[in-house]
Amino acid sequence: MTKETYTLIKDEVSVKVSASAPESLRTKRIKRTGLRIYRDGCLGISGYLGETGAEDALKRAEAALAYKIAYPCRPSGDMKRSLTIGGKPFTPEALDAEVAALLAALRKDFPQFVFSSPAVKSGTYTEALANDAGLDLLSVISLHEFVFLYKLASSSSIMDGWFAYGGQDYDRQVFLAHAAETLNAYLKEVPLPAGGRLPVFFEDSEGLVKQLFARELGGMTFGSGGSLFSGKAGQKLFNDNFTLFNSRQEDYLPFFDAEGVCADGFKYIENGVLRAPYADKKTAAKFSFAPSGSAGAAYDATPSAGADIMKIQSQAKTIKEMLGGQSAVFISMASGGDFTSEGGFGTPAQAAFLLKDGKLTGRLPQLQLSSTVYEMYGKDFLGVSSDKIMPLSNNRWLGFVLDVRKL
Amino acid sequence: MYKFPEDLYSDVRIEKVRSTFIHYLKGELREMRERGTAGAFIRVFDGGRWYYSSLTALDKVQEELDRLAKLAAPLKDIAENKVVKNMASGGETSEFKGKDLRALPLAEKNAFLVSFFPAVTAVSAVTMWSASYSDTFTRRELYNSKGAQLVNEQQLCGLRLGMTFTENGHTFTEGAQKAGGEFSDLAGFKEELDKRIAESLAFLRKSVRVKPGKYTVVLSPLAAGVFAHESFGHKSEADFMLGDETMKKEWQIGRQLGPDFLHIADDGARPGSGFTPFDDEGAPARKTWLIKDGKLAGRLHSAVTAASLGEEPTGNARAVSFEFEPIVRMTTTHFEAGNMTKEELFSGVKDGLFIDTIKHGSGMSTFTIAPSLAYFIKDGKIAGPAQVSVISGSVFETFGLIDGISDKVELLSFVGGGCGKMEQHPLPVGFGGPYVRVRGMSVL
Repeated sequence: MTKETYTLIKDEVSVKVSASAPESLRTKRIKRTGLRIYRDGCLGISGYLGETGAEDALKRAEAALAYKIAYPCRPSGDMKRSLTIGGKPFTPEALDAEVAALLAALRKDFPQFVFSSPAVKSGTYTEALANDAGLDLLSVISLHEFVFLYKLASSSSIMDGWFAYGGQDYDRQVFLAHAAETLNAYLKEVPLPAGGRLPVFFEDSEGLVKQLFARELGGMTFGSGGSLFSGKAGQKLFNDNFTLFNSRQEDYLPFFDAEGVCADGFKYIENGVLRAPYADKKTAAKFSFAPSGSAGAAYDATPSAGADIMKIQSQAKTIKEMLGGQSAVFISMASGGDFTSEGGFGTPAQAAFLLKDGKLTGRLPQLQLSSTVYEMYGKDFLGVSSDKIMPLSNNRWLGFVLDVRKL
Repeated sequence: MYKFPEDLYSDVRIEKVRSTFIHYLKGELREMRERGTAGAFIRVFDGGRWYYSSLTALDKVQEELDRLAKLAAPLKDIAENKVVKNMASGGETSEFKGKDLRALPLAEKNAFLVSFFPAVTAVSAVTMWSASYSDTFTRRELYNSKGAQLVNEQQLCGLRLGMTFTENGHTFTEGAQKAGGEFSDLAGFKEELDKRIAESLAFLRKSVRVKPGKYTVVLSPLAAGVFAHESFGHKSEADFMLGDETMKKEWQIGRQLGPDFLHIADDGARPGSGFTPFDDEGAPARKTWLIKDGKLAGRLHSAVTAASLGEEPTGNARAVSFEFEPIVRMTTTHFEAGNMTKEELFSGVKDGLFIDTIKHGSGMSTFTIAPSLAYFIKDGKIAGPAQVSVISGSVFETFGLIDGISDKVELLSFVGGGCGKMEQHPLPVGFGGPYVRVRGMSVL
């Protein structure tokens, strides 16, 4: 029998912005603890919130073994490591003052716009996994997440777009410069370049263009034959430059997953060749896959593999080199699109910009984009830039050639 | 009881939740848990700013209330503030009076879920499937500095089955689900599951990719509900209008948006996943007409937005959990019955599409719906399954393009998902409606 404790602590302060002014200041400290018991190939779990309740939760976890939730794998063990990254988060007072200073600058330089934010956040996120098989992992990550929505005062939309960053460092001037590039470009309407098929760039964190892989590379679906990619492991399906991998630390996630697997860099697709699906230990064991280190879990839930940490390998070229003097489209906001079950892709783009030499130079009309997964990640794949979109975050430029039409 | 700080408005929301979750992947048990949680959300308002805190240590609520009060600037006449005037006072209790699922053994809930497995395993084309049962019993207590003491209990339960169908190198993923306030609301799920399996197999074998363009589209009650929710409901949430003169002009009550037979309402008193007898500021549920006779008729409010726009709170200040502040959210949003029968609606389409089920939807100035089961309509008849990536349109323009609404309303409840807004997801909501016909919708 192995006993394991999974602890998640969120210590966060946030400021909400409405009508270009701070509206509220919120503090949050939530501790969640899960207790897991592995015995006779089964897993029993329970949990509690706050500081008290461990004894009862342990009893409930033991009782939960009677449900016979199979876990035919050894729990992770014999590993001790801790990693603390990021600086000090803002105090409530400091974050309140910083948001006020940002808004003062934005109101002065861009009076044409109304700004809002669901939450400008700064916090420390602690995750620990320890058991009596020698596992003792601790991750403490401090992170800032600044999201501002903007709309022209004359606009009848809920919002016209956003600028944001998530990262461990903060510099007011750098953030304001990023905002200014976006807002200045938004103020200058430009026509869509002719051609129909155009180079189109997204932030590489954009889930929309990767959601087909999230859907089709799930280990259970893949192993059961229900995936578009089932039976194609080892086949060259995509562009040579397309490598899709598990990236935890660059995405500000703990270095271990919810099962204690450390597999940063695990490759799903390598140089266009399909390598493996994402799988938790139980699914991996069922189909003889390798665990991908991407299991997630609520504090009191069975770990299961998730797809939210898929990253595309960046190339040696900067965005400027990728464009080679050509204009391109940058999609800042594309909501509501999807891939069909056969891999066809379509989406409206609600906020799009003209991109020249790596800079946003004007606002394009609302667009419709379309392609297929094999074209986007095959002959039409342009890759991910070596340089970041803005210095404070890890997001880079991700490009494809797509069919582009005015909405 | 709490000692509320003087010369400030403050409230404390205590939330206690008991939930069950059972989950199978391809017939293999992955999750079976009963969870009990408790937490508190505290708000202090000084007439200008709000100060919030969420915590799980209920014995520390008073301490936290006092800490927040020190951040605020006391105001002598806070009681005269328009926002504070909109806050609840007095005591009221809305207790759950049905069959309490906390008393039903886990084994019975599991057996009920497992009873549907043979319908799925009998189909060889189903290569992957998942099944889940969930129920939630929530008790919210609200105490505020105006003396309010409100208790609100709610229960929601439901089933979901997700299936991936594979044949001859083609795949298609669909699901079936049913939800309601009581176990008895889940009756009839087997028939719905069988029907969905048959429809999915036909779609897998016969569907054809639609040619992008403009089409007349008939929306099912589900799709129409998503359309009402995404295209219009979110824009009716008045927090988007605060300090925004353009939006206020655009949303002038009485503005003609569509035909006379177009009506949309939000109603927190409707049973189901959007049921909200009191909102998280204590405002009682009511039916709010958003569109009546084709004209803009109202909007959804919290105490803050109602005060700002000089209107009444509508019972729509909702928080997804004790970790968050209440913001303006929908409850059950739907089209009302319209001007023709379903048969008349379809017969008027020469060359169009019928959107039956959906994968997801989104709404801003342009709304989108990603259909799942969709069909061609030729000369008023269903003419085979159609693969559609997304349908979209401008919110206001699309209302003007509605030319038919059927005469029966079907409201739907959901578990395992919900509405997302800002950082708060998933909030249980209900939607549905009649069948709705729209001309000239953009289809990809």
